[in-house]
Amino acid sequence: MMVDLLAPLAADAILVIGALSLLLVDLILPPGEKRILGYGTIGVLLAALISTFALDLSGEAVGGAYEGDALALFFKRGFYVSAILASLASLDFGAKIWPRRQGEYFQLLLYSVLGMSLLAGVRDLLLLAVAFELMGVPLYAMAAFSRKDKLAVEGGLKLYLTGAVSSAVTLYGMSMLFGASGSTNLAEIASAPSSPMLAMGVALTLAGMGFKLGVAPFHMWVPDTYRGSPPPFVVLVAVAPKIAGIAALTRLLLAGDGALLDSVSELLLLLAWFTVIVGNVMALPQDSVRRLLGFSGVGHMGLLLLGLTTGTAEGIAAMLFYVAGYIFTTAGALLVLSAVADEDGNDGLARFAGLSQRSGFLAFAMLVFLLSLGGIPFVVGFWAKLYLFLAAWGAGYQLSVLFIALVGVIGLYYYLRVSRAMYMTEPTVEGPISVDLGTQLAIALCLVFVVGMGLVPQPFVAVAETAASVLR
Amino acid sequence: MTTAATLGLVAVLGPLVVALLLAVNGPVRRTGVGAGALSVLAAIANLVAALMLANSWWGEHELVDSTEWVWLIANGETIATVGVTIDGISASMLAVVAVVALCVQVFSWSYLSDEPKADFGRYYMWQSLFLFSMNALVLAPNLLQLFMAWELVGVCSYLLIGYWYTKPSAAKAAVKAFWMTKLADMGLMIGLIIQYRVTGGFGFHEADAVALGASVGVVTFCYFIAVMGKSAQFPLHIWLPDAMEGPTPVSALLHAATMVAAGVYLMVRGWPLFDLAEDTRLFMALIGGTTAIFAASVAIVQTDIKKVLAYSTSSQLGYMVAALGAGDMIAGYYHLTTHAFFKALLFLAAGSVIHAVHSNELSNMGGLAKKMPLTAGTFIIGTLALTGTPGFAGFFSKDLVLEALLHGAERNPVLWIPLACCLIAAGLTSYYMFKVVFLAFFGEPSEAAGHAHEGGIALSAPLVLLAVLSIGAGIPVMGALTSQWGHEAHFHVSPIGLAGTSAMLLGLGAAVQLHYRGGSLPGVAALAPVGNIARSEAVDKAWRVAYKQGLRTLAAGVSWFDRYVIDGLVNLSGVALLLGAGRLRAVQTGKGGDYVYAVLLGVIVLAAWTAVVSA
Amino acid sequence: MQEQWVSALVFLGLAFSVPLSMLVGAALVRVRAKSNLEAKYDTYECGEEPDGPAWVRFHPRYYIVALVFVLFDVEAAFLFPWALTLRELGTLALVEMFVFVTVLLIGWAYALRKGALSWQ
Repeated sequence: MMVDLLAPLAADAILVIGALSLLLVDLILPPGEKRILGYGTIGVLLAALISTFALDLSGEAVGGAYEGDALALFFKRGFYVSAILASLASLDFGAKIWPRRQGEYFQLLLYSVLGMSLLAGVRDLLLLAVAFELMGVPLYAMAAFSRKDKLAVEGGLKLYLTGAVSSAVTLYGMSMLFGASGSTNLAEIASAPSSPMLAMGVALTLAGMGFKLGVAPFHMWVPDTYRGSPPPFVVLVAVAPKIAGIAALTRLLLAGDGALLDSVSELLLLLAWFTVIVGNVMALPQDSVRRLLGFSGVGHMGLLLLGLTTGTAEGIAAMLFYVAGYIFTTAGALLVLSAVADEDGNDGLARFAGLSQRSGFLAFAMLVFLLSLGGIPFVVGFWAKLYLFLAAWGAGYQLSVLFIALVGVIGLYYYLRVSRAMYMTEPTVEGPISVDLGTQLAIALCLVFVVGMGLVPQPFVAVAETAASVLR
Repeated sequence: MTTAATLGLVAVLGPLVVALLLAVNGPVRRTGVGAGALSVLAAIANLVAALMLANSWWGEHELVDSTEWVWLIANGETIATVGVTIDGISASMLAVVAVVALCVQVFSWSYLSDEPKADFGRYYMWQSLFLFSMNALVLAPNLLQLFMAWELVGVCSYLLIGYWYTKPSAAKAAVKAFWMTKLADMGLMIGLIIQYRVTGGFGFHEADAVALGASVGVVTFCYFIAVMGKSAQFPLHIWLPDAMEGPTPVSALLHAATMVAAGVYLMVRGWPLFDLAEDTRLFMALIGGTTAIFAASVAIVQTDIKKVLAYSTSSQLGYMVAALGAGDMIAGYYHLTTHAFFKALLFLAAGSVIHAVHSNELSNMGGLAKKMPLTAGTFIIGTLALTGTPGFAGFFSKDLVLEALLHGAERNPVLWIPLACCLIAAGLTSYYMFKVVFLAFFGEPSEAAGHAHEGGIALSAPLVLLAVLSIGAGIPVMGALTSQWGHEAHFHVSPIGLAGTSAMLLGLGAAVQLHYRGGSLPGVAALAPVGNIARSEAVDKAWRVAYKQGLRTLAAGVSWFDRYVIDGLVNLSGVALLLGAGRLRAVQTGKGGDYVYAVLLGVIVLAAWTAVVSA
Repeated sequence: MQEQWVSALVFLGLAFSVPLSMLVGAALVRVRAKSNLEAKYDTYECGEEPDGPAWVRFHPRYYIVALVFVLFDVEAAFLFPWALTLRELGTLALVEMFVFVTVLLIGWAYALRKGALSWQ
């Protein structure tokens, strides 16, 4: 009986049981052998990922607060994959920088992923709030995990401060949603008669989630946290929570007949425009490549918001495909970055100078990721942009497509600056770069998917369409 | 699959295989010579395939063959297909690309022989990648594939311009070229989106043009924006002269014969669409005419031999665009093919000169005709072809362009403007080209020119082949092209042709007087200010100012807005709302507090917006 | 529509007026100390004589112990209503609570092993 009720949550159960077992293992492991915990974490995440393919996770759970449909599966896979990539990068880094505390780091990671995983199929405000916090709180601690590093602590503190405020805003908005509709069920909230309180509630919830997404003007933590936090953590925070934010927004706004989306679609569009401007323009004067990628990530969120705003099956499918491409492209670029940055985390353009001569693999991988971010053909970024623009144009958002496409070209300029540094300048630091095996593997995985999705986009588009078809 | 499609696939995939092989196999690439040999082999295979296709097309003009595979289906509709289309246009263009590409690759072998082996291999890897992209562009069965290949040739151009990465100017030029063209490419992307939304496909046939209906104007206009970037049309031409920082063979292949011509090729390919778009074509004609005369006048004041040729390329592309704008597809396309041969020849000959004197500056040359007779001879043949000397390839095509404009002007008087521009530009072209000839190959040799000598067979053979084509490609190509489309364009002496030739003779006379006999011409002093105004720096500066003042200011503005307006507003509202905000602020450390305020302000804005909208 | 906004406005006004009235009320009825009394700057200790300044260092163990205490306190608070309604809820609730307590137990084991409860 209990098993039936929780069957759609089997993947999440794997995460819980895995995390708790690892916690116990951590207690009996001698300090020198904590590395195993990293492998264990990747194993748990892999098991969860495999379960999304192997098991039937469909159906309702927790009294209708969760539904395991194709969309939930899509997001879950995205979270697990990005967490695996981040964990791969953390293996050597953790063993080197915080050898005794590896267990805690991976614990936090697993709990955060658990929160995201629950968000994927959320149908109820209560679960939404809890899962959102479960995702967010471990991230604060992870951001400041290098306790002695002032920048990391600063980045973590900023993440925490803004995160706490936006959580409060979200909860306040949710209380309004409940007040206006008398229900915590998302579909019932959507079908409630429209009222100012309802609209205000959606807007406030949107504002709070915009923080996790890094949507302007809630983006300010992004560059600082990217710059200060441990590089492998940046791989996680740049991808997974943002997608989780998108997942939560999709679930909330498109619940029922999508009435909530209609009430805030103008607002979303406004945010999308502002986000695209801030993301692309503010990236120009950056010297730190991580801050640059941070702002570029902000810009990409604007595109995702555009996809969400359309609300059509085609638009959502395009957004999901964009999400899939974003995972591998952004994670890949940040993985290369974590390999290139020096011990102090310096990652100015100077560190990238002549990278092609120091490590041909890293330079080539970075070039491919940058081309994908810039939307150049034969890598996934091109299809993602084209598909999204086609869908948005078809849904009647012509002006936004024009505007966002043009502003996006500004973004290309700073991608070119990085690749120019890699391929067209002499190295300022001599000697080849040694990259640990985990990071190499993760970069190779990203590379395979970025190129693979560029050459054979069909299966991924099909999956995205199936996932989008469950809405409306 | 038919033979034609198979040959097309060979042409496309051969270079791709080589490029991929060199990309993944570092040891082979670093041998340099091995990489070059593979690349040249692919180019030869490509040429053979292209010639076989062109030959079969020559025999039976009805040849149309298209093989496509579905690439991407979304929403139950096919978005993308990939494949090859063989017809008169693509087969002839493929042959042009193949000939020039092989010549350039052979030429590069000797030209870059002093480079480190690894760099040599890298160069050929990118050459192969470029050849693949260009062939994919030429043989594209739809505009989407064309667009994808179009972007890829842009990437190749970026990589090849920046080949000499130790030169900071080269790296800068590479970024500028890519960014400028990419900006214009957005036009193509938007056009494609509109076309897909209206017709449900990316085709370029009559049926697609009809299906577009009233949208054909806006779609073709969007496409033309991209053409202006790629084919260096005023005012988006400024990247082309800077792109001369790349190796000279690259300039010959990409920035003279093939890649920049891709813009014109796009219009030829999509001619059924452009044919219906009267307004777009008028705009094209005006832009083409402006570019022709503007770039030609800038070329006059250049002292760098490659920059003269670069501006000349821009000017000649203006001719093609103007002809297309006047509604004569054959004239524009015909000029594209002949121009590809003689401009590649001019660049390669210039490369041979640069190789000998180690300088781009005309002042470092002089008297080279005696030291390098073959280079001088071929360069002069190229010049004669470019200036439209009767009997050479360029003469016929230029004549056809002028005639097309004249015909157009009879229907629409506005077209007199581009016609006049092109006529004057013909005189200017003749002047600056012969000026280069006289300064580089005659007169007193400079110090550097004293030790110059002819290069090896790898340098000479491509020159000779291209020289032959520059002389001989006139009548046969025109015959083939015109019979393909049943076009009545047999060459005959006409008043407009005579006018063009007279303009060319005037320019020649001026060049002889000023630069051969060292004399002076009355009125030239008065022309100097015109040249100065037209100098590239003016437009370049305008763009720089637009970038610095525009984009940088925008960036500064947004960051200022972030820091002061949001913060300030929050502080104000904080003071008003909380009374004790000032004391609270003192507790906050660093900017963390500001971030919180920004979040709050965002919330307030959102809430206010919602209140206003829903009230 | 408009009425709902009025109610929202009233709510907002209330939200502001409650803390404001507290501050203002306190300011009105407060005892005004004579100038420069030594005791005015003393730490407030519910009428007790303060012993030493308030700005002393607290041992961080207080905070860890307090955290762990809150955790189990909440658990206990959760256990009481569960125990009262267990009969109606059935076996499922029993299993659920055991899962819940197990998870907390693992946390307790972690805290114990990491020395959070040892005073050394």
